[in-house]
Amino acid sequence: MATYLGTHGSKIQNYTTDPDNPNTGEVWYNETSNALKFQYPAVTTTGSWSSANPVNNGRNNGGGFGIYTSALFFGGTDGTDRAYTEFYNGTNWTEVNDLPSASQGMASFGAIGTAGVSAGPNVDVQVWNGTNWAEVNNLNAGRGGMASSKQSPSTSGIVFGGVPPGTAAEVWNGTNWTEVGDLNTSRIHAGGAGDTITAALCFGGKPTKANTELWNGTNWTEVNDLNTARQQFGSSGTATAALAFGGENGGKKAVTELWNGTNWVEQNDLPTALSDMSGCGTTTNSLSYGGSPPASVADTNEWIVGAPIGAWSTGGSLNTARSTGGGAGISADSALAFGGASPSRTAVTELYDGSSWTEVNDLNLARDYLCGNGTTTSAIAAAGETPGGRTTDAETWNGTNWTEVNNINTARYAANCAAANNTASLIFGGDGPPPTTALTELYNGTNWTEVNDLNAAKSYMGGCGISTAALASGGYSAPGANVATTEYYNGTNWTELNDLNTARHSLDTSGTYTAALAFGGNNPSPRSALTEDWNGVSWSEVADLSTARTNIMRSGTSSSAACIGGATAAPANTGATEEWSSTSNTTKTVSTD
Amino acid sequence: MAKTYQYCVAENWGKGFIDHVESQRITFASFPGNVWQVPAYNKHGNLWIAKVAGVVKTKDEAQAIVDAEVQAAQAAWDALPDAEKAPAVETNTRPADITLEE
Repeated sequence: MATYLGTHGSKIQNYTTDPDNPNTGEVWYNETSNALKFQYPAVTTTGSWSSANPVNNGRNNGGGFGIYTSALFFGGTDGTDRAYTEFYNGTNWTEVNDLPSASQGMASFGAIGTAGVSAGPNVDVQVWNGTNWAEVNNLNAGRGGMASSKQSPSTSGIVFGGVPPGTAAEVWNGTNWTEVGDLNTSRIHAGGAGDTITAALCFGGKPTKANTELWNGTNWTEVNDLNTARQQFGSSGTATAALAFGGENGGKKAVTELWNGTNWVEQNDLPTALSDMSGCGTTTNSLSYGGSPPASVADTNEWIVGAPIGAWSTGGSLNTARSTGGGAGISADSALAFGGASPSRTAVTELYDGSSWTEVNDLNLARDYLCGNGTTTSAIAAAGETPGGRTTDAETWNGTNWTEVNNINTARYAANCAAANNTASLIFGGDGPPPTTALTELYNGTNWTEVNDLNAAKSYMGGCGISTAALASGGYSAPGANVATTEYYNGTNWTELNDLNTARHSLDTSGTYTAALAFGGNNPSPRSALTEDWNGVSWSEVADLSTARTNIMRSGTSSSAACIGGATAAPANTGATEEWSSTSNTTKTVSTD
Repeated sequence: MAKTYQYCVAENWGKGFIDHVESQRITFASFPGNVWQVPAYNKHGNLWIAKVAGVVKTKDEAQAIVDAEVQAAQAAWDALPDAEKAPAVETNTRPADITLEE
């Protein structure tokens, strides 16, 4: 038998107060409170949706079953009925063997993506064995638009409802279908949940209704209704813990509801209003894929309860307190800060190792309101303000020195840039004539070339990503006019995505176009501590900085970032660094009651 | 009226001044003059003040420290040449008064 001593190399320690920085999984005994305690990752207790890689062939009204790390999506329509089958491994969708024939509107169940059943829209039934579909015994009555006990295994499930009369139910025992007790209320395109043939849930459906019925293996009983009546939505879970998401009710819906065994409780919405999607999983981890807004979409969204909770901590302070500088680096403990105002324009460059800042070689041109990005060994600095006004100057960092390279085409300051290294960079926006600009330029390691503009001119915005996949967030369109817009550059064009929750300028962002962190800025107070997390679809508020600030420098990703320096209420410039970690711990007490 | 926050003066020494566990447990806010705000009647807030050797201040004492810092910053801003105070320099706004919460 494994022991704590054997696993961790030490006995459980006694303390009079809890240790300051216990490791994740560490157990100790608190002699004061007489409690056995342990350190546990802090996670969310409510669920939320985040985007995942899309299906290969967007379609709606298809079948689906499985869990969030092993799911199947098959059939459906994109205007033409399809036989496509795709398997999801928790990260990507892969095309696998097709259904025997193209179809839509089938009911389906399966506890995992490698074994499940597709029934309808006629009497035909197919079983998926992880590789191929095989025809098995038919339904007693063929119909489309049925719901099912979604999480049932491939050898045991129930389907119900469907095209009128719409009350019939049949149970599958792995070989044959048997007619069982009818639903009380006729419906098509309802939601279904369940993991056995003796406990299932039917909810909502067409004509639009909120009715919920519980199957006990013999009869259907009316229980509490959905809060939002709807049809053609996604569903997952069991008879005691189910999820209903999206749907149609005079328009597409993003609403998500959780069944707790007694009531439906509203949860965080889908990022996009959708209907006719497929769904699977549990109330802790579910998937929504495909759908219709009204054209078929390829969206995949993951529902997660228990996502890590991030937090800021203090890091080392810059030797030269400053704001409006440039920043680069790949994490919270690998950063470069250069230029800025301290309060006069400076060329000072400092390197951060996760503990302290060290002065290294200066920029060639002292400036403030410059932009930068890259790594601590390969970075770029461009634009900015000098005593002569806006500058076109650009420099690259090789880990030791800054070297002048070809200038950008349009002088500006308060721009931002996206760059993986010093040979490929994108600079966008800024304060250039007229007051703000939408101009975007691409650096190929030698020259800057104008490419397609931002959709809207702005300056003082956050910027992150790389030259072929960049994100521009917030900023202002004119003095006093904060914007919350987010734009994504795909290597050719900028596209508007969902806004920040709080419009502000002089913030910055770290990460990529699918996972980013925005922090600081000038709103709601002139110096803001706001932090927002971008999941590729939408921004959500997370833990604030401890020191509110604007005109910051940054490094890192959405999971490990540094907020460096900036302007605080007083004094004007700070050298304080805060480090973001997307995971944190909490102390729990072992309960024996 | 019950207090929501408590205040202390402590100098941020950098790494380890606030760690991730503390930041996850309680909400910190800093103000001019090295004034820090943490939740009142909170064990983790009290432990953190002890860790950083914070000098506990009443809300009024903390407010006085903040006011002095902000007024000094406002005076410095007022002394700037007009060109540096021009509205076009959007980020260089006059430091605003700060009112601490009970």
